[in-house]
Amino acid sequence: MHRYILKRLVQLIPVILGVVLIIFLIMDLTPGDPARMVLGNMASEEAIAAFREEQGLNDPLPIRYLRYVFDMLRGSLGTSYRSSRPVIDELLARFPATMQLASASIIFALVISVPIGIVSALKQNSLFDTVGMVAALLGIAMPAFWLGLILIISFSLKLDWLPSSGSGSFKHLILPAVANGVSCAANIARITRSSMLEIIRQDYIRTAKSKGIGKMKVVLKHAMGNCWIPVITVAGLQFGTMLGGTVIIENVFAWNGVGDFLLKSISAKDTPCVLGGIVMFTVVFSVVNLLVDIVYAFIDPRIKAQYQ
Amino acid sequence: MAHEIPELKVENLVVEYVTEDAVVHAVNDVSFEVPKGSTMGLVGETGAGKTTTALSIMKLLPDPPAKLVSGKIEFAGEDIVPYSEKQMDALRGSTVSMVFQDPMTSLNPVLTVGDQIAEVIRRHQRVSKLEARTKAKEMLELVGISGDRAGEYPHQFSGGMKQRVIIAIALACNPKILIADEPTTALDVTIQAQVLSMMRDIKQKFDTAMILITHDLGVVADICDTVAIMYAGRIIEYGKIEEIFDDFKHPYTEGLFGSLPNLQKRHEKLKPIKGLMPDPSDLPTGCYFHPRCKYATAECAKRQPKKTYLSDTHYVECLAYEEGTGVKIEGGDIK
Repeated sequence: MHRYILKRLVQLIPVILGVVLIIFLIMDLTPGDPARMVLGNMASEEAIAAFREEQGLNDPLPIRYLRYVFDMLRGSLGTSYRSSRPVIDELLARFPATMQLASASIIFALVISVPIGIVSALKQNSLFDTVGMVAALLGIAMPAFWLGLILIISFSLKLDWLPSSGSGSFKHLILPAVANGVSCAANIARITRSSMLEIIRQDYIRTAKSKGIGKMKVVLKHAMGNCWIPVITVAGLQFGTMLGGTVIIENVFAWNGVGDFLLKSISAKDTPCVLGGIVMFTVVFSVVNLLVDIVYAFIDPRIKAQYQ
Repeated sequence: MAHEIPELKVENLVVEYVTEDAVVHAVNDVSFEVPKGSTMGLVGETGAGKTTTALSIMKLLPDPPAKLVSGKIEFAGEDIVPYSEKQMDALRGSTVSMVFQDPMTSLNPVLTVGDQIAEVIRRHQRVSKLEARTKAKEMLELVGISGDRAGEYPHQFSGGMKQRVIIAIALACNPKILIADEPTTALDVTIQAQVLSMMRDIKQKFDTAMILITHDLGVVADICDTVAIMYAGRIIEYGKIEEIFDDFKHPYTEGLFGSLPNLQKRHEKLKPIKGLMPDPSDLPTGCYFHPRCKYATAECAKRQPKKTYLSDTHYVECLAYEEGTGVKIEGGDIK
């Protein structure tokens, strides 16, 4: 198990190097001079030249790439062009907010979707199943920003129950978490239903029924025990994506997270911040995936046996 | 001895699978009795309704589409057909147990085998968690697996051992009725022999009434006291083991025995029964076997045979044995 985790962490290194290279190329190919963007149109040619020299922008791409990689190894992701603060500090300042939002969203999603998925599967083709699955389809189809706006209009403007923007309290968390969690919940509900449908037809479920332990226990202990793998897979992917910052939701709710920061950095062509943000996203996403794989081992002893 | 109440009695059982396009007549008027300590073999081709009969006794038919249309299923004289799920759950695993067909898929892969055995003990006996675990280990020992392995998962066991675990689960609460649905079909021959001798020992030890579902006549000869030959959802011949093996009467039973390889005449070709089992959603008129029967006459397509008792224990459903039908069996192996 330890060896497996170590191996996975080592595999992360080429992934990060590749991602950095791709971002470097893309940022280089997009139009716009960072010096001009940062200093503004009124800046003199000398000032721009000095900025370019100071930031090492005149060096060829391979040199800049290698310099970035070596800095990264020393734990530095460069300094922001805009604020002149270390990128790592900028990101770390915003990551907790994103983490909080992503966690709240995924918990909300799991709490509503798993029961819906289970009941839909057990009562396949019933009214509950039909309504539940149509709702899930709507949940997936509905754009999150639109849902966010609807939620703001209803619960903030009309009813005045919850704040429309900002972060800090639990009340601030509810609307963005719901807006963010709905499509996620819809996905998880559908996957829970379909894997549950498959599992309740398995022979071992019949064996469990033949013990006379009652339907509840058959479902909760025997069926759910086997249902977690696909559910955790989907939930993990969604959680990883959300940790990269849910750009639009953070924007709509003025949530000061990584996603919002990344969006602003891209429009300002603040390359070090964009790069740093994406490196962080890559690492976080990979770590979440690794955690999901580790959780598998605790759910399914057959997978655990493979890791040894 | 007067008429003793049998441990299990099935009377005129009719089960159908109702789908949108068709009604599948899986079990058509099946009756039998299994007294305490005796074993009945239920023999027939795939699709003859053996498993459906077994699942009806457990009341574990997949509903929908399955429907228990009519009939009685009595455990020690008590009809369980009207029982609620809750009443059934009190019996399942304690009074009546089932060993399922495929050991590879019949155990829950994410629970330890010890847990899976202890679960049924905890359900039906007033014991602590620890006692249940100890009992589970004893059950493992009983089926010839070291009790130390109770903490292992099904994937760590071979097919034969999994089948033993399933048998341990079925026997954990000393059931009065045990249904074994092809317990050895998925196992190789040497393991088959081990599992069978183990089942025989256990049956004797606990005096269980057992139904053994199989299409292997060798297995039947090994442990059964009575045999029911099933075809298209009907028991077409029933009798004590000697009566069936030495003195079978039905042309289908003849076909079954005829299709066995003969060890003395190895060069001889196998004699399969021609044709296929009828589609249970579109059963033939008259005798269900007549389209494949080499003795069939026009009468066989018209009239459904009734039970003809050849002795107190041996009956056959074939017009050739009924009075005044004019149907005769000539030139076959049937004595």
